[in-house]
Amino acid sequence: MAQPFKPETLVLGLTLIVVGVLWTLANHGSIDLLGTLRRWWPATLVLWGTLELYGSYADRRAGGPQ
Amino acid sequence: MRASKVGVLVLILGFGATVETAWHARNHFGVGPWDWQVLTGDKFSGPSFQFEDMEAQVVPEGTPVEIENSFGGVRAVMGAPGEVKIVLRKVVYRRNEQEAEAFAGRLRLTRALEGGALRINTNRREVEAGQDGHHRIGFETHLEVTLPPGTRLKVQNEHGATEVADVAEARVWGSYEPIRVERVAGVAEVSSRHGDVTVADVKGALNLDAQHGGVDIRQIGGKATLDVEHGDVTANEVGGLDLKLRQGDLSADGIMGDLEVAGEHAGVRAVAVTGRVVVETGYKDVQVERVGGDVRLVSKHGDVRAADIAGAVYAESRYKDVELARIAGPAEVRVMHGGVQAQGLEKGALIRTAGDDVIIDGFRGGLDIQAERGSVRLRPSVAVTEAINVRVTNGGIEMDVPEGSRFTLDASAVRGEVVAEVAGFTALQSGPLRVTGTMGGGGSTVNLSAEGANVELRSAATITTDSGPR
Repeated sequence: MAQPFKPETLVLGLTLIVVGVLWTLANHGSIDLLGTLRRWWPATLVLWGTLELYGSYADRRAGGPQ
Repeated sequence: MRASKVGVLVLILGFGATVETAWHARNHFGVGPWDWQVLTGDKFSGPSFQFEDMEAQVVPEGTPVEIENSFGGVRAVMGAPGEVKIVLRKVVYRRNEQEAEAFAGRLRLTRALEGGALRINTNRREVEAGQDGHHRIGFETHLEVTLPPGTRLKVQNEHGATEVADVAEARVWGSYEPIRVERVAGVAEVSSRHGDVTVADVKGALNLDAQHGGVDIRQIGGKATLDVEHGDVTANEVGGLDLKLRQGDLSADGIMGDLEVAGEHAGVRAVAVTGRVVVETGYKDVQVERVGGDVRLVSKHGDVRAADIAGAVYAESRYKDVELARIAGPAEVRVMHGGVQAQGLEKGALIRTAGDDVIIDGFRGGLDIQAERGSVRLRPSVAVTEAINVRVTNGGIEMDVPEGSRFTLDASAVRGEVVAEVAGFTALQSGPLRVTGTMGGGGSTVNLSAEGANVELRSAATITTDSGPR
């Protein structure tokens, strides 16, 4: 049986990937790491909220938990 | 909410708080010149150590000198003839003196006589090009140059203060720090970005452009031509001033020549100008006093004031008032939404206004006034003998008639009445709506026409300052 969709897991994974990419770019001198993180970190909350809504919608369609 | 969600939420908020704290800490304190430069980008913090090199160059008389520098000050002063002395003061940001001294040893002066000019520089670019991108070492290069008398000097300096004194000519370009130029025997040219500029005691002409910084010029023998943006300008004892000014105010005292200002969001206050004055600006006030020539003042959305003017005056304001005092020449005033107050108009005036009163307290010569939505009060300073033509819509007219006046009157009122209580006035037609007649046997025509209020003529002694026409 498939595991239920967990938005927080996806958010955590994506956040780690994004932070890792940014840190790498900063080490190559391509971006200002701190400035970029400060500008974009609230987007993590937006992404999570969007995934939560999507998860709730998908659960209803599947007849899962409300 | 599941515990995992709470955990991730705390993690994200904690991450955000850490980033925000680090950001503010960086902006307020800086972290240091090593190890954290990926985050800070600030290589001019932490402990620093100073080292000096000195060199001298023998130069033929009259050799021009060109100095180029960045991230450090340049100071050029007069010294002995035939020789240029250069002191390079190196400031290196390292953890200890040994490391700093080792790095400072790589920094050196460069100087060369090329094309008849002595060029002075440092090997900064070469040193910077050889540094590791992540661990750039911060260093400043300050140049103190002693020049032979009568040297023509050119300085280009970024991110450093520049001081130049006692030279034949000065051409200075600087950014992000102040520029000071003093005692120049000939012409001076100054260009500045993000720094205040002071220029004093220049015998020749001055050309200056500056952005984002105040400008102070004093004792300029020739004409000063300035282009200034986002900064105030102070000018004292200048041999003529031609100024383009955006987002700043001018304060001028002692212009020995003409003053021309083309302003945008620029206020102007000028005192003691020997020549003519032309000011066109907007959103700020214009005020000039003690001018020897003609004056043309235009301010959109700003008050216009002129006092003690020897020549003619043209004053225009769209949404504010115009005030004139002691104008020796003829005056012309145009106001779209505002009033006019004038004293001591010696050669009459042409006035067009709307929206407020016109009050002229003391005038000689003829008047031609058209006013809307405001009253006109006239108090001549001498007997009326010249033509006066006043037409007012939605306002009244009040005129004081001094003894000895000679004129032919034609006064009329619509939705008001005409009152002529003047000793010595002979009426040819006298009714509530129109009065014609002669004063002192007649003379020039005085036409007074009002709609919506009264026309009142009184002998000078019977008029009080508070009684306005209704």
